[in-house]
Amino acid sequence: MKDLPHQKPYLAVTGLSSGYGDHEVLTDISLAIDRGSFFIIAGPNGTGKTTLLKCLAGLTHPQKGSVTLDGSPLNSFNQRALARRIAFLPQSVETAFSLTVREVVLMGRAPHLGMLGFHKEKDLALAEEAMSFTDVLPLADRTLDALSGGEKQRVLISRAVCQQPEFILLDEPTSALDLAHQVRVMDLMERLKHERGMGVVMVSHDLNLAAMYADTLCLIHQGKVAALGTPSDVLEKKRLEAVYGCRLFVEKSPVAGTVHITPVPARFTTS
Amino acid sequence: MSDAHLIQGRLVRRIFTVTGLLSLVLALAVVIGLATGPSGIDLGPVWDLLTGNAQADGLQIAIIERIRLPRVLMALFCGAVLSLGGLVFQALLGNPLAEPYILGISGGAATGAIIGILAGLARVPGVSLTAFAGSMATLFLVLYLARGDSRAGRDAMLLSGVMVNAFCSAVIMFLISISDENKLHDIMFWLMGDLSSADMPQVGMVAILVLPCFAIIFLLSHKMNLMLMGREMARSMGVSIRQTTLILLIATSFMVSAMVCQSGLMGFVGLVVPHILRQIFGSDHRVLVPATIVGGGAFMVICDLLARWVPREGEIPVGVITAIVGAPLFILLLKRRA
Repeated sequence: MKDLPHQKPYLAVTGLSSGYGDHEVLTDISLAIDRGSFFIIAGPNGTGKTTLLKCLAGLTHPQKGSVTLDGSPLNSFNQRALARRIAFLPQSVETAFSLTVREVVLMGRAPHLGMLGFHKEKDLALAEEAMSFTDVLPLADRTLDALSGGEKQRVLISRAVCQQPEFILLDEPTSALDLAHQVRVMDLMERLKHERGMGVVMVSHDLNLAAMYADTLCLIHQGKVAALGTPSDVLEKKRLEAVYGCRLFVEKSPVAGTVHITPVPARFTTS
Repeated sequence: MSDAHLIQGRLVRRIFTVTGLLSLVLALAVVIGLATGPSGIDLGPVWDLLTGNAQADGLQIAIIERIRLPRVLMALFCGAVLSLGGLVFQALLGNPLAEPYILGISGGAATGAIIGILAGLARVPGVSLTAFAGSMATLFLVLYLARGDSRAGRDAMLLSGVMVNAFCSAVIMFLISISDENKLHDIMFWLMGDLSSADMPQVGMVAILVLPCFAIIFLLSHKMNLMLMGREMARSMGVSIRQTTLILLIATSFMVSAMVCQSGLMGFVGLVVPHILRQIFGSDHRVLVPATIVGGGAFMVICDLLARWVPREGEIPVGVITAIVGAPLFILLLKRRA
């Protein structure tokens, strides 16, 4: 994958190692993500998925190796220039004081505006458009803390859309949502990819959703890339059982024809 | 999209409307403040002064110009600086309990002031200089303690500030315990905040030091909005967190120190005024920063005139009034909103 000639903007990671202090979380990671593709990072808890995502967002700096956007290292961009190209959604967002939905979505325009963030007509139109894209326009004047988890997530996605980035990076956006909202968020991501050509990079624990939506799946285990490729290549029963350390039942989903994985409870495993 | 133009104009218009409205309140408070004396409220001489009436009572005019005007202006700056300080720290630390003294400024300034008083220095410039030195020393100590690990930065700063304040209050208690009777009065007055000794050169000094800080903070007000979403999210929207935090921290601490070393410690204003204004006008700091400067100024001028007007003889410490007026007002707004 690394040696493909890239015409389109892309994010590439080469020989990346990162961690906190002496503790190395990621070791020698290499991968490349195209604009207009859906890239999902999966793996057991505490294996460095979030750290990898933050490295891709330029929020954590690599100790070794590099992360590049169109061939230039992320740390050669200033914060605002990078924000015009990469949007990031952390796992949870808590605000100390209440903001309205419109205020939050308009914040996405910040890297495109002056210091005081005074917006023009165009920015408001973009915010309206982003809100209607994620279907939160009717909530525009509500405050963020009065929304449900699913609504809040859609508002935050709307903010990222309003930022008009080339890549949108999300850390487990569906983990706290009900089934309907999970699919809704994944569908939105698919539309961002198809309709706007954005690259979507998502950390997710849901292998079944990943199998249905991802173009490329990256399985991280103990800070290293355990497997990288199409979901059907990566989601191999033996490999997953080794990585997750539990028994799994793998079948073909009748819906998408993709792999469907069910973890097997302990009481069924002693045979 | 039809109302897009309306909304666009709304932000700038809101900044001017809100600030203008509060300016009217402030102007009214200043006029009444100038008219309030031990014998009650007398608008006549203030009117004479404003209209330049040649037949005016010279003594009355002199009292207003030399005694009341500097006091009212000092109260105005004091309210503005402390309220804005509270607003900035609440946004910066993401903590609604933050107030301008939270990083140890009050402890440092008080320790410095008391050492100055015990050394027998004059109130101005001696004591105000030692107070300023004390608060700046604690600021650098807190910045030094909290540097390094950026993930823990915010909490580390908060905790360092609380610890420095706790340490300083022990030192203050010790210093008070070894003080002479006649110096105790000066110390208590300083600790409670005192505007009565203000004169015009002092006010001018404060103005020169704090006005640039107001401008810097306003320029960073949109970044403060973005920081409400959390540090990582703010960075991903283009805010250089480290730089912005440092500038805000230093500008705010500097103006609070410059103010407090002249006025002594005024409690409560910095905590409650930002909350009251946020309840009314929302969380956009581009509106809140000017609103807090003007509204905080008005609040303090009103509290100061109550402090002078309410008792039959002498006056109540203005810090007592700020809490007695501010706390119920805040609770009322909180209840009504919920």
